[in-house]
Amino acid sequence: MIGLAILMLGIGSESYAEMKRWEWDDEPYLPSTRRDVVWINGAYKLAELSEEENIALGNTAKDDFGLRVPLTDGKIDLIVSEWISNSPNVFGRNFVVDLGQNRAITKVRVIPGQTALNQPEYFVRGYRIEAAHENSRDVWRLLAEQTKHFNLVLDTQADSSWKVTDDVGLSTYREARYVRLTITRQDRSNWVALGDIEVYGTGYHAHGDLQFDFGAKQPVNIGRIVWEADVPDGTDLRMKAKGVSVDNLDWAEVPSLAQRDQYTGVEPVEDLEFKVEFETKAAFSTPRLDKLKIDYDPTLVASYVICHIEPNKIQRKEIAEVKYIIDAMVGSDDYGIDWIEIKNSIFEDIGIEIDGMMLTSAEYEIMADVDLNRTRIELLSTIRQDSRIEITGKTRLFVDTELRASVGNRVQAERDGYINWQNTTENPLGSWDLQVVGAPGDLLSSIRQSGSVISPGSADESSISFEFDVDNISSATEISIEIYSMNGIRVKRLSEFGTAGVYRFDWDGSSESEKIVPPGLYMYQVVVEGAGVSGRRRGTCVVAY
Amino acid sequence: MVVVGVLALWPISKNIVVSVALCIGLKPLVAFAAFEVEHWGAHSAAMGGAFSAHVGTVEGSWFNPAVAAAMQVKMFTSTHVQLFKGVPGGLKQNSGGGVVPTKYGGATLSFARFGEREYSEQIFAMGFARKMHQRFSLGFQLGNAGWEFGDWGARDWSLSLGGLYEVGWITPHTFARIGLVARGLGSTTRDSGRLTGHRPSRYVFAFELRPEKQIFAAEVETGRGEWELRAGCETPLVGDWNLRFGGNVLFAETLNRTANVGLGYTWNLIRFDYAYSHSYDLSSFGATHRIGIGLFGS
Repeated sequence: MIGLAILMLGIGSESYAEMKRWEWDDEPYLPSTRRDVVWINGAYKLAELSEEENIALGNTAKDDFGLRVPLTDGKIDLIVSEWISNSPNVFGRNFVVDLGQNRAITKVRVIPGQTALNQPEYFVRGYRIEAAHENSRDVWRLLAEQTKHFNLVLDTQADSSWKVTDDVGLSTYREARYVRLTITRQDRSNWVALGDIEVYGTGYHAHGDLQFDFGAKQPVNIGRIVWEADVPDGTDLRMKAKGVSVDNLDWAEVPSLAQRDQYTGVEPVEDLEFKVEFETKAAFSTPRLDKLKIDYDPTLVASYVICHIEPNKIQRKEIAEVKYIIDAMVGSDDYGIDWIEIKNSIFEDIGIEIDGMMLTSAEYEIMADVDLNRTRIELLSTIRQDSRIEITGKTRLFVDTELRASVGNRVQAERDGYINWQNTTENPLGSWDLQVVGAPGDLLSSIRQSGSVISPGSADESSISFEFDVDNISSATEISIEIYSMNGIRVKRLSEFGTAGVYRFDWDGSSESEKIVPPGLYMYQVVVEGAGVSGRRRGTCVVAY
Repeated sequence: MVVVGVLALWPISKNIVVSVALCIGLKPLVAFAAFEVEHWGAHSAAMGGAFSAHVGTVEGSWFNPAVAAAMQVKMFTSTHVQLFKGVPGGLKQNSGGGVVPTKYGGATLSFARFGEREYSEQIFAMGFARKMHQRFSLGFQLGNAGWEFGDWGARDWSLSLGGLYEVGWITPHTFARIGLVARGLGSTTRDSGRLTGHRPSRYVFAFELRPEKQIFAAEVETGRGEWELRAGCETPLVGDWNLRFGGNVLFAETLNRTANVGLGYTWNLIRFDYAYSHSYDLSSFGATHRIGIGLFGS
C-alpha cells in the first residue's frame, strides 16, 4: 500500500532539477588570459602603469608636414625606423604623437636613431616638449624645455627639464592626448637622427581584458548572467560570452551582454568562454568587476532544436508568406516546448502545424513586440516528444535578416520567475537567413498618419502614430520626427537609430517637458539623416481639447 | 463683424460701449488656442516684424494700438499669406483691417483668418487710440480669437494696451520714436498657464529711427517664457519703390531665426507690398510669402 501510494504520488507530477548558479567573489578561477588587468581587494580592475611603460608605443606620430614618421614603433633601425633630417637646418621642426585619448603624462624620452648611434653628433641640441588636451587641440602647454642639450638621449626627468610641478614644486603629471617635440636649436654642420619618442605616464592602462572558461560538465541551458561592477564616468566594462567549439565567432563579432541578459549563443552548451573588456578614458579611473554569477539549467527545454526558413528569398518591402520550420528532439528528461520566440521579425496571420496537425487559434497565443522586433508564441499544450513545428506567417523586410529562434517552457518560467530561453541552432541543411531581393526603394516613403487630431485624455484619440518606411540605407542612421508649433519652436523630438525598415512614432501631444501643448495646429517633419543620406517628409496635425 | 464695423463709425462714446459689449458678449470658452501665427502684414513682415513704433500704416495698429492716434487719413489694407510652402496641404492666412481717424482719435478694426483644410483660427479686433499729449499717445484693442476643428473649438478674448512716445529729432535729420505694448491681457482663470505654465500676456519695447528717408526699427518682446528680438530697415529704392529687410529671432526651448526681405510700391493712393520670409531653423519647411494691398483714404 505504501509502495502504491509512493508510486501514485510519483505519477503525473513534474519534478525537475533546480536551476543552478555559478559565481565567484574570490579568485578561484584563474583567467585563461589576462592583459593589463589585476585582481586587487576582491575585484578585477585595470592595472596601473609602471614607470617604464611607454604609452606612445604603437600610436601615431606625424611631422610638421602631416606625414607619418616611424617614431613610435619601438625601433630605431637604420633608415626604416628613424627620422633623419638630411640637413642641419632643423630649427622649428616638430613631431606630434597622438596617444589616442587623454593620458596623465609624467615623462618624455627621445631615443636617437641608429644613425645617431653610429655618428653621435646627430642628436637634439635644444628642444621644447608640449602637450595638448583632447578638447583643445590648438592649445599647447609646456612640459619640458632645454636650450642646451648635449646628450644622445633626451629624458625630461633625468635632465630636469620637466616643467610641470604641483603646489609644492614637485614634478607632477599633465593630462593630454597630444605630445609635441620641437627642435629649437641646430648645429651648423650636423644633422639630427631620431629613433623613437617615448611617453611615460601615471594612472591606469587605457584598455585591458581577461578571459576565462566556464565548464558545466554537461550540456546546459544558460540563464541570466549577472555581475556586480563599479563603472565610473569615463570608463566602460563589457561582458561577452561564446560557446567553445559551438559559436565560431571572433570576439569582435560577439555582442556585449547587458546586465541580467540571457546568453545569446547556441544552446545547449557545455563550455563557455567569457571575455571581460575594461576601458578607461580617465587616467585615474578604472572599472571594477566584483562578482559574476551565471545561472544555468541542467534540464533542457529540448535536447536538440534546429531551425530553418522557407523560402530563403523574398521581395524587398513587400509582404511575403514564409514558413519557419523547427525540428525538435525532446527527451523524457526535458521540460518540453510551449514557448517559441522568433527574433528580428514580426509575423502576422500566423498558422501553426505540429507534425502535420494544424492547431486552432484557441491552442496558441501570439505576442508581437514591435519595439523589440520579435514574435512570441505560447502553445497551450507542451510538446514532449520529437516534433516538427511549422509556423507560417506573413512578414515584410527591407534588408537581409537572420531569423533566430529560441524555445522555452512554462513550468521552468513559473519556478524561476523568467523564461530561460534555450537558443536553437541553424539547420545545417537549410538556413534561417532571409534574403531580400529587388531594387531599394525611396529613402523615405510617404507617412501613414493614424489620425489628424490628438485629444489628450480621450479614449481613442489620445495620440497619433506616424508610420513610414525607410529604405536604401546600408548602415544604421538616426531616424527622427520633430514637431513644431506654428511659431517655429520645436515642441517634441522622437528618434531612434536603425537601418531600412518600418518605423513608427507615437505622439500624445506632450512637449519635451511632458506637459500637454496648447491646442492648435502643429507641423511635423520626419528626418532620416546620416551615412551620406538625407530625407525629409512634412505634414500637420491638430491638438484639440 | 460687419455690425461691429458699422458701429465703429458711430459717435465715439456709443461706439466704445456697444463694441465692448459685443466683444464681451461673444462668450469665451475654456481653452486658449495657440495662435502662434503672427498677425503680420507684408510691410511689417519684410521689416522683421519690428513695427511696434511704426506710424503711417494700418499694420502698425496691429502691433501697437496707440499708432492709430497718429493717423491722418483713412487707410485699409489686406494681406494674403502662404506660410511654409514646403508643408503639404497649404497653410494660408488672410487678414485685413482699417484705421479711421476721428476728431477724438483713431478707430481701428481688423480681422485675420488662418487655416489649413479643416482647421481654422479667426481673430477679430477693434480698438481706439488718442493723443494724450503732443508727444504721447495711448491706445487699446479688444480682440476676440477662436479656433475650430471639426467638433472642437474655443473662443477667447483679450485686451492689448499700447503707448507711443515721440522722442523727437535726436539729430537734425533723425527722428526717434518709442513704443510700449502689453498684448494678450486676459483673465487668468482661463489662462493657458494651467496647461503650459506660461501666461499668454506679452510685452514689447520698441524704438524706431528715421534718418532722412530710411527707417530703422528694433524691438524686443517677452512673455510665455519666450523672448523675441526683431529688427528691420526700409530704404527708398528708385521712384516709388521701397526696399525692406529685417530679421527676427525667437528664443524658447529651441531657436527660430528668420530672415525677411520685401518690396513696397506706391501708386497713387494704392500701396502694394511683398515680403519673403525664410526661417533658418525651419528651412526645410519652405519660405513664407506675403502679399499686401493698401488703400489710402483722402
